[in-house]
Amino acid sequence: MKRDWLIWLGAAILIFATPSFIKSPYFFTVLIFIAINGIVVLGLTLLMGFAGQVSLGHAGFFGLGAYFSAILTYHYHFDPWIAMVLALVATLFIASLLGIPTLRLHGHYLAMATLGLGVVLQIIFKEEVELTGGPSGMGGIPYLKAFGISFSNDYRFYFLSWAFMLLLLGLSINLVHSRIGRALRAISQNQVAAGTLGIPVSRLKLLIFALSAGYASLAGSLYAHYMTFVSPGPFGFMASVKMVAMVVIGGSTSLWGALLGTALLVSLPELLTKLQDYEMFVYGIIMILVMIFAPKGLAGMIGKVGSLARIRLKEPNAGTG
Amino acid sequence: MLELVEIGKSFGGVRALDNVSFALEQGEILGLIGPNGAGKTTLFNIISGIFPPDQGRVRFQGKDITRLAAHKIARLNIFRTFQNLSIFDGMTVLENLLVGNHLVGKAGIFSAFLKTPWERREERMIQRRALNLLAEIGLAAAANLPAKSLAFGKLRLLELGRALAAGPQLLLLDEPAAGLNQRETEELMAFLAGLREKEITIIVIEHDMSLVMELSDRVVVLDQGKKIAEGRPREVQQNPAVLTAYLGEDDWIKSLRR
Repeated sequence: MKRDWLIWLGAAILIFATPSFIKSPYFFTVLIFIAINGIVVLGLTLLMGFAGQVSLGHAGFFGLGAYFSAILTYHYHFDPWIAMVLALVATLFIASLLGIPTLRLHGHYLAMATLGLGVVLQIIFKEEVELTGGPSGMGGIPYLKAFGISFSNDYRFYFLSWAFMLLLLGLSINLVHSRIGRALRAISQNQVAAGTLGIPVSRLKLLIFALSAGYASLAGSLYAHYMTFVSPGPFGFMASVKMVAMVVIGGSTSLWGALLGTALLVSLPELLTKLQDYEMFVYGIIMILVMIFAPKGLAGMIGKVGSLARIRLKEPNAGTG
Repeated sequence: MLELVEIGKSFGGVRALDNVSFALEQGEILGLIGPNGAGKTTLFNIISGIFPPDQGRVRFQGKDITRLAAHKIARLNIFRTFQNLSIFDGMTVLENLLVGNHLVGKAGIFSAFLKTPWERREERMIQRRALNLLAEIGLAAAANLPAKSLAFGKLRLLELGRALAAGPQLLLLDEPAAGLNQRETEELMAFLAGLREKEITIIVIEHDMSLVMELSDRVVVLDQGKKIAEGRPREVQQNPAVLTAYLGEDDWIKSLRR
């Protein structure tokens, strides 16, 4: 726990120092996308790694946040911050409606149900043309403003998006190291035993599922106000699969894995622009390699290297003792 | 304190339990024995709320608990162990006991998010409780080791500790000595005898006859889902129906006559 907060502090310093030595606006765009996607992946990591459930529709919740924010601010002239909260509440509600029947059952019913929801949402985004603008999307979404500052350029939005990321990361660190966090891990490891110890299995699974949908919704709202334009594209099934890939590649049992996996998979296509057509192919290869050589993901690999280094350092003493 | 009334349960066409009734007094230790497939573990699963019976009622302290979910049964301070260990493998030894303390704590999601001073105090209290219990079951030195690194006998102890962590009134032990060697079994006996002094009511399923006979105040014998005998250990040992039930199971007869 202490170690997590130290890394958090290090990450915070790094993030807020970065603009002083990097000026390329393109670089900021990439970093903003890492923050926004990272928030979704963080929630998904809580669900997958700490509660043992899979969602194949998280891009749908991401889209719900984005479209609720877009529609409420553009059509109904809500304040963006209020729209963000309303989007969050609506997403929590929809996720609960989906989770209540499916999470009572053992097995991967949630994966199926979220897959279905993702598809349904995609259709709504495309077909409700009057509200959503249909396949060509809708623009004119206002920027976020606070204390007289408009988060209208990449430099400012960089700080805003990473502030959100760090806040949610901090809350998640606390959650994982709490009574509820332990109970969730217990559920993912042995549901029956967890129940006999007084842990309300269905209720906690629902709680963490709704929470992870909530993270996605917040990220979606940020996305809408950053782009000031939304279209159905980034919220489809392939996007959901990419988010699962980010969790798995990063390492689902570590919150830091969420950041690493997102950073890798968001920046990779940017690095391999010439390979655009092969993007999904490269993803697939990376996923296979990670599963073979680092089943606990990038975070697991780093942890292993760390502990190996520690053993190396201790060895001389152990020999003489 | 616990009363089972005409419990029946079938799986497919197989009658796992048929019209089983017995009652338990506060502070009593009851041995539940019978050949393999007699329905002993099924009965534990029904009492602990893992699944409900097809017929019959379970009453605890005068309250009907027949259809309560497992986590609500636990809230009544009924805890159990499993025949095939169900330790949380991915956690440390200490963490297993912290989870065992789940019902001791109250902190919900918001105090967890914000790590309120109140939540920190509660966490420290739970840590202390878990460490004390670890010392009691002799696993203090292993507190921060991964649970899966423990030897089998220690895992049995850990699971017992986990069931004790939140302070049971009724404890269901499913073959606690299975897989233990002679010395470990003796240590277990001594530990269970200590529980008697804490007035914890216990039902114990066990194949180790000497353990059952020495520990139990009373014994209930199941065979093919039916209760065939009930009484003091010595009486049950002489019961012709019990001897017949075990006919063909040589080890059993030997152990009964020992």
